[in-house]
Amino acid sequence: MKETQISFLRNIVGNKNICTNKEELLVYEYDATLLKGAPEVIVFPENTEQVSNILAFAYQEGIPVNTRGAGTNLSGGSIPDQGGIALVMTKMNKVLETDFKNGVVVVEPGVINQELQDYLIPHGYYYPPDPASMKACTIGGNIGECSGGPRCLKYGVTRDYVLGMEMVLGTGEVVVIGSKQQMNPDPLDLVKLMVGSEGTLGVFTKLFLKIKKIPEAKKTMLCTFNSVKDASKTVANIISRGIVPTTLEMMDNLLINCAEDFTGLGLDRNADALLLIEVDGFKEELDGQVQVIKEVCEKNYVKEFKIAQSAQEVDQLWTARRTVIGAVARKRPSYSLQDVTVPRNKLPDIVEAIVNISQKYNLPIGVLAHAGDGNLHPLVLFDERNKEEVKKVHEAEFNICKIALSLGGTLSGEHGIGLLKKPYLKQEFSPEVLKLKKQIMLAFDPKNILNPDKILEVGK
Amino acid sequence: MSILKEAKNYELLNTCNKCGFCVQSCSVYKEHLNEAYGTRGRLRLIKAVADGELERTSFYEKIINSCLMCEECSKNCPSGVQGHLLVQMAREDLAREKGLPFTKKLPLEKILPNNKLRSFSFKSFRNFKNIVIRPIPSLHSIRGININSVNIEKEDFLTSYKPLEVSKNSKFKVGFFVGCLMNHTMKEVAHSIVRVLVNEGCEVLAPQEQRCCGTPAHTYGHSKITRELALHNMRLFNEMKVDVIVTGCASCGNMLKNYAKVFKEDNELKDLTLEFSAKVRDITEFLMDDLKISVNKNRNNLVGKVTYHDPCHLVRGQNVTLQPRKILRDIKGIEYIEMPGANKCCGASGMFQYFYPEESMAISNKKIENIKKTNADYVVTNCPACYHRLKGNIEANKLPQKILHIIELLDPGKQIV
Amino acid sequence: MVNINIMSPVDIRELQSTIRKAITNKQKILLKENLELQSLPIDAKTVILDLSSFDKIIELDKENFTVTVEGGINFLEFQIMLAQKGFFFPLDTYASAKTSLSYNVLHGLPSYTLGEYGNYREYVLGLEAVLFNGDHIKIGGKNIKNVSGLDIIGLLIGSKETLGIITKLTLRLLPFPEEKRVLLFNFKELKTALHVTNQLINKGINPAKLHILNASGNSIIKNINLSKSPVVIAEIDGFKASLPRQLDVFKEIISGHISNFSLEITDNNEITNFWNNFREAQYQALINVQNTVSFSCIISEIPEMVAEIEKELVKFEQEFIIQVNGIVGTGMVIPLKKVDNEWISQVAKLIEKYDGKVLGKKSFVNQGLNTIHKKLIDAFDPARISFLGGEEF
Ligand code: SF4
Ligand code: SF4
Repeated sequence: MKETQISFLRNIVGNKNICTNKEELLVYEYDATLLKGAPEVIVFPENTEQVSNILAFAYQEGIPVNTRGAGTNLSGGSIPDQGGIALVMTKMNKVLETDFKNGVVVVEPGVINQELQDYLIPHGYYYPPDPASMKACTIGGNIGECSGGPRCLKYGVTRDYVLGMEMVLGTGEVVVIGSKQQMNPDPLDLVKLMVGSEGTLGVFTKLFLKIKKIPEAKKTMLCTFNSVKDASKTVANIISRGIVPTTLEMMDNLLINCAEDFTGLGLDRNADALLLIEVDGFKEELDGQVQVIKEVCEKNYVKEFKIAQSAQEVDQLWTARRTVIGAVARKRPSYSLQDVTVPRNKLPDIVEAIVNISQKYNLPIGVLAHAGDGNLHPLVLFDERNKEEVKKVHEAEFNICKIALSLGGTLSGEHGIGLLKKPYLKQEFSPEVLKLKKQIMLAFDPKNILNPDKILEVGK
Repeated sequence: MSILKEAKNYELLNTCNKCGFCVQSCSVYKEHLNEAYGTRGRLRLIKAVADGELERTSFYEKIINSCLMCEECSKNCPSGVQGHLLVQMAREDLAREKGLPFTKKLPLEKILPNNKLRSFSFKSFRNFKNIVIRPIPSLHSIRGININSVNIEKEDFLTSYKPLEVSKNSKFKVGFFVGCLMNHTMKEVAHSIVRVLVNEGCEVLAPQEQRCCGTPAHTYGHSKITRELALHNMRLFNEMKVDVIVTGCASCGNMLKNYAKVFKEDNELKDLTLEFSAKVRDITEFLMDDLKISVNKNRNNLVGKVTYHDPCHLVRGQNVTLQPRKILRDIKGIEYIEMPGANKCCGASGMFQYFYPEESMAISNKKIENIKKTNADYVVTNCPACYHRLKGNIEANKLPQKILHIIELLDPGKQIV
Repeated sequence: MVNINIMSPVDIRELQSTIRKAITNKQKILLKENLELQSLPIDAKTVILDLSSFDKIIELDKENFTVTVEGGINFLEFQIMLAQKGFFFPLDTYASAKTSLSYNVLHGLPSYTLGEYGNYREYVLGLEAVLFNGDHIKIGGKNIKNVSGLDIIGLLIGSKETLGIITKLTLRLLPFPEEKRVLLFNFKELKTALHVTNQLINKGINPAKLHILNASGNSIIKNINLSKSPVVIAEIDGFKASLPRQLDVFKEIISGHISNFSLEITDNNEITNFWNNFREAQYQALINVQNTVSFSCIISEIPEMVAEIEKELVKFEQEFIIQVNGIVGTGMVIPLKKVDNEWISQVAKLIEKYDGKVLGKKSFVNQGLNTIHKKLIDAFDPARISFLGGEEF
């Protein structure tokens, strides 16, 4: 980028909101993957008008714009691999409006998910999407990726909670789509399209979110099994018994041990699989559900079935679950995480396939799953500095993706495609669909400057 | 070779997998909302320096020095990365490769380690404050630090300390590590600690020759001074053959306990440190866990609501959170209220408040907001540094709360109301 | 009456060729269901698409709780079939009995259960469609979560036949609620009825359905003797264990406000009959006039808004039904006899006054969005064969 371009941007956001220091460029070159690519300038807009001016200028000059929240994403989606502007939304971090009567909050994209929850909980409300990184990630990022989380088995994903938004189009024009109302009155539901668009269609500046009343009661269960197969069968059986738990999370032996290393909760290090199950609702109806779940577990040879006794115990279990991915990294310096999803009843098959792949490539692979919705996070452990190993990791992951697709699955359940899974996309979609996706992207972003060539190659 | 390149250190730098979980817990990041000030960013830059990708630029120095050492990042890192220790390592690297600036060098190398010089400077400051600052309100606050509110003793605690009479068969022989700040600014609190301990049947020794614990030197990467201080203090207390070493300062306690870790590869110090560090206790920890005292009697007829601020170096540094709360909950007649964000840093962090006044101020203001939310009459804490920072800010904001060191609630000899 | 040109393709290939022909012959294409529901200026060239051959259930996957079904199936028959097998698909609209599943999804017709049971996008896991550019596409599958690239499923739902025709859907199913009740209450005033619904939600009671009708709206409740005043119809479902308490809370809230009539239906067959009658009556009222206003509005504004509509429309001396979903704030104003445009625009104005939105607009207000809309249509329907898409922007 030219000096004049940078000083134009400087005029828009002011001196304190723009950086070109080498040091700062270095810390905006990464996300939570191993990929890298440095921006040429970092801009922190403080309001919609600034975002609009930045985009209008970038459009005019053809400069790439990579919108970024907290950079906790797992797909390479926020990496400015083509240089240009890193548009960092962290300073637009206010909760603008809460309207409990209508069950709506209006927030800026830089609000941290957990902070929104902390804000709502005292009023008896919450925002259901709860990605594991909720303490660190922004709402804008959640919407860009259509984040899921353990609770979405019962309550749905981010998409189901975004009613509308104010956003800035690639040209700099500010528009509102959807509304604060529960039904989108627009001629086409562009809100749904924006959720999960990974920064390729526009930049959100205000989000209208649906919130829910906190259910009056919940019960959390911890069940261990002697085999992953038993655990995955349990998962399928629970649902076919007519119970939709809030969450149904699974960890394999490797992950149980890592979680235990970090939290020291006394998890059974010898168990081959663990299920963390939660049901919520009215207090009278929970005991019955717990009873059914217990029966199903017993039928599937549960090793131990335990109900958490205190709120503190529940919190600890959830901390163990939310942090387990990082905790795994204690074993080896690097890890890579996939996000394949398969129909629930194919869970045992894919787990078995992953075990085989792990043996074939001689790589430790841990399996963490939002088992209730068939969404798996196989964690491949390696050392990023060992090039041989890195090559093997890529092959192993490609195989996992292929198998997931052959089981009727999809490449991504909640992390998005970004850069990481871009090469696999043509395995999942026909040329007609890919063409359509490209046309959609060009309709919003004719110059291909908004997070250019993420999800798929658009080209000039 | 830079210490960053030493194999085991370099390996530590590579354990961060950039998940970003630590970033939002860093109070300094929260003020800048710029990745460079978050732990993940700091670590990336340290690695860049280690790899020769980046020079030790002045911006880099700023990033490395603007850390509170609050340990939030380390506590929140699922991968077990000890962010604050890596920053400390980077500071040591900076001190070695570039040397310390005069503003840090003088206090760290000359004044703090030397009991006489330190007493002298506290005293001169007291005079300066009383003669120059007090009459001129515009000088009361320097770089956001409410200097006027800091009390400086005419005669420090250690000089005036005379051991109290104890019953023959005392339960414990306690070494009292007072700490510089308490010694010079909170003499009464130090006396309270002694009184409470003696009342509980302990013999209390407070050797006058004890020196600075080493926190400031260690924090800014001056390992030579840290080592000298540690060696001196350990020998002193070990020779006295005390059962435990008790302190009422969170940072001192943390440092003393950490001698064992900091010098774990130092063969000369190894055995000494293990023996010493195992004996160190925070005062609340000692009272509740070792002595198991009963506190339900209200010893100074206090009434009203109390809230508690966790010093970083206690809650994260030493994992002490339940003991002080149990004390406050058990005392009859007062109502304990948990403050939102009780364990977030107060913004003091030693010299940080002087070098980064804006960040420090903003962090303190958040604390003040949380204090307001509790509507408490008393804010209780357990560390002289937090005590002064909170007191200064409470007074500057004209809040009604009174700040107390936790020991004051347990000492019947102390008049609070 | 013009001659109508009905095409009934039997498979994808025939449908594709119908669409391709329409592209070459510059014909417009329209789903058959529209003929009854709207008065449209069709001509002999217009291709009226009848999907009734696409009526097969491909797979009911009991383990995954999904069903894969062709889009031409009658929505209500589809639901009855599922119910017989013990599965529950909670969406249900005024047109379910008369229209295909695809029609409902493509038009995003507001479900009676909109609210507690969410909307179409939460249930459509995968679909196949023939687009108006002639392409046959498949997206999604049986996976509950899927963010693989842009959400084309979300774009097609509610696209009102402007992008293409959905031919097959994979839907997420739910287990049947253990028990349900329908409750009817007569209110003296519409406004109080609406305030009561607000309180219910505040108490954490989430009815599966909650409809409010004005006094004239009573006419679509058949076989039940109601006095001519506003009515609230609620359906509460859930677990046996917790239902009694939900009902108690419900009745307690409502007891202070009702005028004189209340009825509780407990028998499942009777409940089904009740909704069948209700659906039928609403559908008849709609096709009778083919001219109604559908809206979405802010829930807390409903009482004022509805009261003003009632008051202002008196001058037209025209009876009309107001039906509002009290949980999400969607609703309809249906005149009992044909009305002119002035009436329609007056209703619209009142709705907009309260920040409500009239549904079914063809274009965005904003120019930038219209440009994008046009480009999207260029991708899906380059020859502009969609009848409902209109000529140009
Ligand atoms: S120790 Fe505290 S201030 Fe320093 S990086 Fe960690 S969280 Fe931030
Ligand atoms: S220090 Fe820990 S929490 Fe922070 S980014 Fe690195 S691995 Fe994640």
